[in-house]
Amino acid sequence: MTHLSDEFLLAYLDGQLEKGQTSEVSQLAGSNPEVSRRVARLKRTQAQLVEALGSFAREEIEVPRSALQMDGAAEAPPVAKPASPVRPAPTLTPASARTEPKRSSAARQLFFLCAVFASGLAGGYGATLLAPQRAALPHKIVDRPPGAMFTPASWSADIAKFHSFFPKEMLTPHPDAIANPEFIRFQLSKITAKALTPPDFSHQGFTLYRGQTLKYNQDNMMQLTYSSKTEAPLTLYVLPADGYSDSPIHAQAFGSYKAVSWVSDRVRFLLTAEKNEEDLKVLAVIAQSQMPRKR
Amino acid sequence: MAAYGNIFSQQAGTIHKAMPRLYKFALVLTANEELARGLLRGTVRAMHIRNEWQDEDARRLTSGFRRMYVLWTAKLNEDPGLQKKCPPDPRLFVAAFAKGPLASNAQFARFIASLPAEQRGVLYLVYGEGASYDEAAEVTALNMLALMKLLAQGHAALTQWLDERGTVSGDSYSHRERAA
Repeated sequence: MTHLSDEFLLAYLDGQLEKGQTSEVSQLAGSNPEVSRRVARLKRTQAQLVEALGSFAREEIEVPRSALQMDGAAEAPPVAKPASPVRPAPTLTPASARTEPKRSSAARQLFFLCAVFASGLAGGYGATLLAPQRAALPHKIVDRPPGAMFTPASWSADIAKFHSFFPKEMLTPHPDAIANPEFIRFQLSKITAKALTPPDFSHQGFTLYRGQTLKYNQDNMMQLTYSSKTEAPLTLYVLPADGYSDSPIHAQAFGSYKAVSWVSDRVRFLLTAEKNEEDLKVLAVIAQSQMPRKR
Repeated sequence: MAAYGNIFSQQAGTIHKAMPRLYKFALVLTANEELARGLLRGTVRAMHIRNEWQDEDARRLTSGFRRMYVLWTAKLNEDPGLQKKCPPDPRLFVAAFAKGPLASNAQFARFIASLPAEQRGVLYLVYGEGASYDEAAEVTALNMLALMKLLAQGHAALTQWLDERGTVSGDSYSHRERAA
């Protein structure tokens, strides 16, 4: 943890790290002169930026009235004091978002709307008279046999299914792929709200080479990919588990993919690879053993 | 830093209250009064078209910042020479900086105005508005790593500026660094 980037140290100073990570960096800054010097340097620039930009943010400012003119289309908020006359400011709205000023009176608009509504009604009814009888629609979804109905899958099945859409090339390490374990750790901690470290499978021949944040329903989810010189990549999905109780390692298969999932201390995990179920379970136990113990 | 964060999302207020903050963000992004007025106007209009005035206060402010940032980047993409035509004006920042005990405020204002707009924007969101990294990333639609890099580059630029001016105090870190 001595090779900390400035980005990570800055996140520490800006209070963006989890408690565990913060205390680790604090300890390191206390014991390592190099880290301590870098932290002090960043603290200095941080103080200057907070002071300067903070005072700009707190400064009382008068909003030019010309900036708030909206062609009468919207209620422009009043400004405290009338600004001095200024020439009209150019509007920076992109061409796609620009609208022509509305000049028609309310009565004309109402009349136009009524006409459109009436013609729509008449046209719609006429169309039903003219159109040929259609074939009967298929049964509603509730009438179909249970086997044909979509049943909401569990989160682990959902993610395993999602994973199956990743072509192998996307999981295979690219020569230019940059593994930034520090940043992966930072993101992982943000997503799970815990000071988590990606599991280390190096003794099993797998090296962490990529972590990316994805969305699963409303949650952020971390996809950690491990590469091996001899085997297909290993992928671990990690996401928060608010509302889920702890559950033991559970194996499942989705097509040719095998996966194991578990919930521990409000974090969900799903590990998948082209391996048999037992191997995956062993890797899951290794991952579990490296997680911080519950307090 | 405990008392510093979270102003961004907690501060509620009507759109009337939010307007000066939006205008200041426009000034920071453009560093040009005329462009800032136009940008604010465009943002207000875009938010009106999308009914974003209806959002609750905190969301509305975030929407306003985001909409403004999107408009500004779109405008810069449309016209990459815009900042040359309407150059950054450091005088916009001098008055605010002069209230602090900073030495050479005018030069510091020039330094801030000389930063790339994107960098100025994220530095202002984080250190001026007190936004968290997540909030700043939401406004700028940058991924976390890109945001952190921009912030670190801003710090590096400031360190270099301080070094060049020799304003880092006697126990200068950078001087020691150079010596090393």
